[in-house]
Amino acid sequence: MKATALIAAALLQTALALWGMADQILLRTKGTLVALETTMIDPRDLLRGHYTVIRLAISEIPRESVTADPTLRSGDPVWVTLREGPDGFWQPETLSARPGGTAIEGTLLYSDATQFSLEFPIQRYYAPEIRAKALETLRQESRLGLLVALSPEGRAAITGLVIDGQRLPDPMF
Amino acid sequence: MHWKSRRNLLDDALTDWEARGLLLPETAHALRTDLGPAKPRDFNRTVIWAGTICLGLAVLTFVGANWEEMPHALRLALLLGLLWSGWGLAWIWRSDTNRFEAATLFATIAFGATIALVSQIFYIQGDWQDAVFLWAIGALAGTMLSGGRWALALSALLLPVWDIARIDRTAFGPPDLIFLALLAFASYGALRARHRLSGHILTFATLAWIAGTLGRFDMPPWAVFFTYPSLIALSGLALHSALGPRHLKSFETALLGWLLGAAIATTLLLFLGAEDWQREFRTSPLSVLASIPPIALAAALALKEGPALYDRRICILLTALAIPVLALPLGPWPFAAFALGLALWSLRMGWRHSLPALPSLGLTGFILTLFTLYFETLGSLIGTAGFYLGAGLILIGGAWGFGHLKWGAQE
Repeated sequence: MKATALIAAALLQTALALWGMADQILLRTKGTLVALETTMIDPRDLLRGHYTVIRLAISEIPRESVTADPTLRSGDPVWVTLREGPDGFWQPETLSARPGGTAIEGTLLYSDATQFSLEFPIQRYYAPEIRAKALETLRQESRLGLLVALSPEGRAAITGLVIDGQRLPDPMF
Repeated sequence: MHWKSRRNLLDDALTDWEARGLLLPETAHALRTDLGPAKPRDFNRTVIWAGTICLGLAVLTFVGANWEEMPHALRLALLLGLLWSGWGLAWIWRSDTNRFEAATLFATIAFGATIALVSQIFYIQGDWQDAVFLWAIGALAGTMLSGGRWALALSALLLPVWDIARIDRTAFGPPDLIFLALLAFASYGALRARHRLSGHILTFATLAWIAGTLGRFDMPPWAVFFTYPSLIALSGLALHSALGPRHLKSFETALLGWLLGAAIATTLLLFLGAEDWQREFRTSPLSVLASIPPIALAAALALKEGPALYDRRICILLTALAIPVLALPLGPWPFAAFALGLALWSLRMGWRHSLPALPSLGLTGFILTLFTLYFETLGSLIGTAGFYLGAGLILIGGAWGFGHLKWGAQE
């Protein structure tokens, strides 16, 4: 058994395990920070423990509240440009087929006469069991939100919580 | 019924024959030398194995607990430290097989736990199957570099876990090709390391993938006409290799069991869904052409001189018989008869060639088929009476037939 083979195995596994970290660190430190209103419920992942399922308030947008690109079809990627509201939560302004401004990327599920239904690639907030359950209870009494860092291309990374207007950023390390 | 191993049984017999004066002491000594020393089970190894699994589970659940008393950076450093310690210990213990295996296995589990921790800290979205996939790739690469056999078994196990968890798959696509490539890579590793446990897991993974793929396509007739006879034809190939060149380094008998087990299970599933299947087949009768390659393989095996010729000829017979059973619109009963035939072949082949797992498999298949038949005919007393009449005739007719068939008994 050669030492180089074992060192190569350890290096390779370290690199693979840390694969997604660099991108996330960059996004968290350089991205635009926005607060998005959400609801949460608590299930459990096999490997990563408890988490709360996130449903962003901007997943359903009343048609009259935004300007939408008429070429958008169900299943298309969509960029929702955001503007900070008076309550601190960021609200949708336009739905576009291209990135631009402070926007979050999602997918248009469907649209009808009254609203647009969208899906965003941030769906889980990991927390220890007690806190995950507490968040689920808290949503009935308080306004909950997520702090999200956005890249210029609209990619999103969760950086913390907003509870009743108070921003609670997570420590990165 | 002997409860001792074959080696210990022979050793006891030699002692007895020597004591009764049937063997000269020098002859008994020469035979004992041939027999070799007894190989006691390594209990130490079992304890180390179980201990390593417990330590690995401790690391995995530590990540799942998301313990906030410890800062993220410290948790990440701890996990990376454990990963590197595992590989470091593997180097230190490289001349002690059990400890080396334990260290590589632990490093591989720590690797998986680190993936989970990173995605937890940074809320990396995606399902746990994605994490398992990344874990499988890294574990397999680490195994190939280090030669760790326990870690190989874990890598092999992660592959079907990932494959089975992809329940939302709808069509054959790039993930299937990636899965097959990883499966082939891991099989090469198992063959190189001569690791039977990994071989069993990978064979199961392959058969599960085939079943899942056929289920996903709602069993297209061409795929059934290719796969079903192939299971039987490949059984012949495994038997030929087991009693001859041993290309798979003695894993052939286990493979034979898996293939025949899968063939019997498939027959019973087809028996239960015969009506749907026959309706489906009527829409694409040309799909029968897909059975040509397995029949050609079975025929090539039957023509070749060498060991187990009788069973190789039975194999071509059964491979060819599978086609009318699949194609003729005779309802479910040909499938039931065929399942019984496969079970009996397995039983008798096992006895004939002293392959210990096959008689048990054959007997299990036989009983399972009879039970399936029983539950299918259940509902009226006349149906149950018909079942018992049929089963009795099959058993007595079979016993009479086997008593008169001497073919292959010499092999």
